[in-house]
Amino acid sequence: MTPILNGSNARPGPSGTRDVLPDEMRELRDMTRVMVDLLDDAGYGEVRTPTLEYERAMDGSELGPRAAYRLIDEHGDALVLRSDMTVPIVRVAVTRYEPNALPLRFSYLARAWRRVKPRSGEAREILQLGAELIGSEPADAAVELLELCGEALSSAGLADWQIGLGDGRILGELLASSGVSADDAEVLLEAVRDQDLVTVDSLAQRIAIPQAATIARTRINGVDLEEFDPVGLGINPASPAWSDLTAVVRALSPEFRARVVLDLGLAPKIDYYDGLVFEAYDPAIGRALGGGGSYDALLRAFGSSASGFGFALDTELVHAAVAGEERGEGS
Amino acid sequence: MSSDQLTIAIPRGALMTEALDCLERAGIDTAEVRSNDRKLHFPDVGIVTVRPSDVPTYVESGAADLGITGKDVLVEQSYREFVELADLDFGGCTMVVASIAGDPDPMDVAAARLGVIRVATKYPKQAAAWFASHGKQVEIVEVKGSVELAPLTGMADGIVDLVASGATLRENGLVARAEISTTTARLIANPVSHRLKATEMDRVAVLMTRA
Repeated sequence: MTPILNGSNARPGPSGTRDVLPDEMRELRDMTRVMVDLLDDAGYGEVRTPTLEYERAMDGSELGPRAAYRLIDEHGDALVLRSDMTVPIVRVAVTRYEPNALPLRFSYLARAWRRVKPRSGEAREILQLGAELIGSEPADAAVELLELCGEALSSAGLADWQIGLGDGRILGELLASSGVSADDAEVLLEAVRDQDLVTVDSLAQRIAIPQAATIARTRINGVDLEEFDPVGLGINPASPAWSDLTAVVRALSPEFRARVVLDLGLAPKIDYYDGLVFEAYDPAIGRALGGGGSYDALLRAFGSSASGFGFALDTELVHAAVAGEERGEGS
Repeated sequence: MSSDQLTIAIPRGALMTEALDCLERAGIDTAEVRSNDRKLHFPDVGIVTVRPSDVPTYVESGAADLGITGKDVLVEQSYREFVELADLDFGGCTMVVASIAGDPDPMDVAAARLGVIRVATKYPKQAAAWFASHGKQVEIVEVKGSVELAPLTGMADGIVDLVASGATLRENGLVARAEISTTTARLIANPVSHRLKATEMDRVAVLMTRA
């Protein structure tokens, strides 16, 4: 196809952004409409927040994804194009509702703009679909949102989705209780975040805590807790992280549990996830379609002691996974 | 691609034979790959053969579940998403700074007289990082191969390149001035395959790393 306009007059959009043309748009809209309705029917009312947020509100906690674009308004205040919807929704929850209104359930289909690694070719502008539950009992919230995320993926037309489930605190607790220096612990956790297991192995050897490397490498498909021995890995079964994780796994339906990969090396990609964390996968796509977790730390940064749990899916990746499954990829 | 068979990206070139030896240890038949230098895709045994610097690309996209390539390539492409699973302990090389033999070092002359050293390399990220950490201003000239030619033709004052024995440097009248790092072949995995095909991947990785 020859573009109508070519040559020196052509002006591509900013790096990391793209145009969506009618054929794709029709499919994307059909898919997202079903997903939005599903969340709304589940009691997660759709909200819209401003595209622009004050930089100090969006980036002030330094817990969310870094913003890609900033600008100055006529009063000299620094604004950013929101990098995420969880932070604005937490702002809405703590500023627009009385504490006795909890628990609050919200959903959204919204664009966000985030910083990407140079040369990675990632999109700066993404269209996210997600849900947030604020002020509910943490394990109940996790089960509710994990299953809702699964239903959303099924409603999009995905057959083979799976969920990786972990808790970043497990490794941290092991290192803290083993008397590892804060510096060594940070280097090791950083290597886990970078998925550099060669460095994890050599560090674990050096600090004489080989279980740290074993935990970082533990992935169990279709998790069966009855066959799993946490003590052998140096995990204290009474620790908050392990009891949260096991309570959630036990409460999930057997059909859902069959799709879960218990992943003890799963590290959150966003800093506000401070407990249970998960990612959504499909074998047709080589990267996570989205993820979620608990973010009590973010609520604390907004002065609330409530707990929060949510997820977000990259709708364009979900759409690509649907197309991939239709082509028979990954099966 | 069946659900439990893994696709593995193998680097063509210097690391290829030993990479295939690793696969043999994991029970993967590599006879056809070894006997056919032109063919790139071997779906029956789950092998694709690519340039070493393309291995992270194939693994990140999920076109390959596993890949073998040098640590030098991984450092250069650290913006890509992959799991670094194991050090395969072969293909050992040293990344060095080199220039035309003799005293004074032409890089020192350039730095003193012109303020900037022109450095040719296939590894712009690692070269820039090393010179920056040594407080030297450089102009990186990125080339795709035969880096030794750059100082001989006057295009650069020095090079950053990977050397195994140092023979190529010597034959071109160059001498190593500093060591930047050492590198070996690594086994990397696609992050999604690493979770969804965990059992099979762990089985293969253990056999591959057992020397």
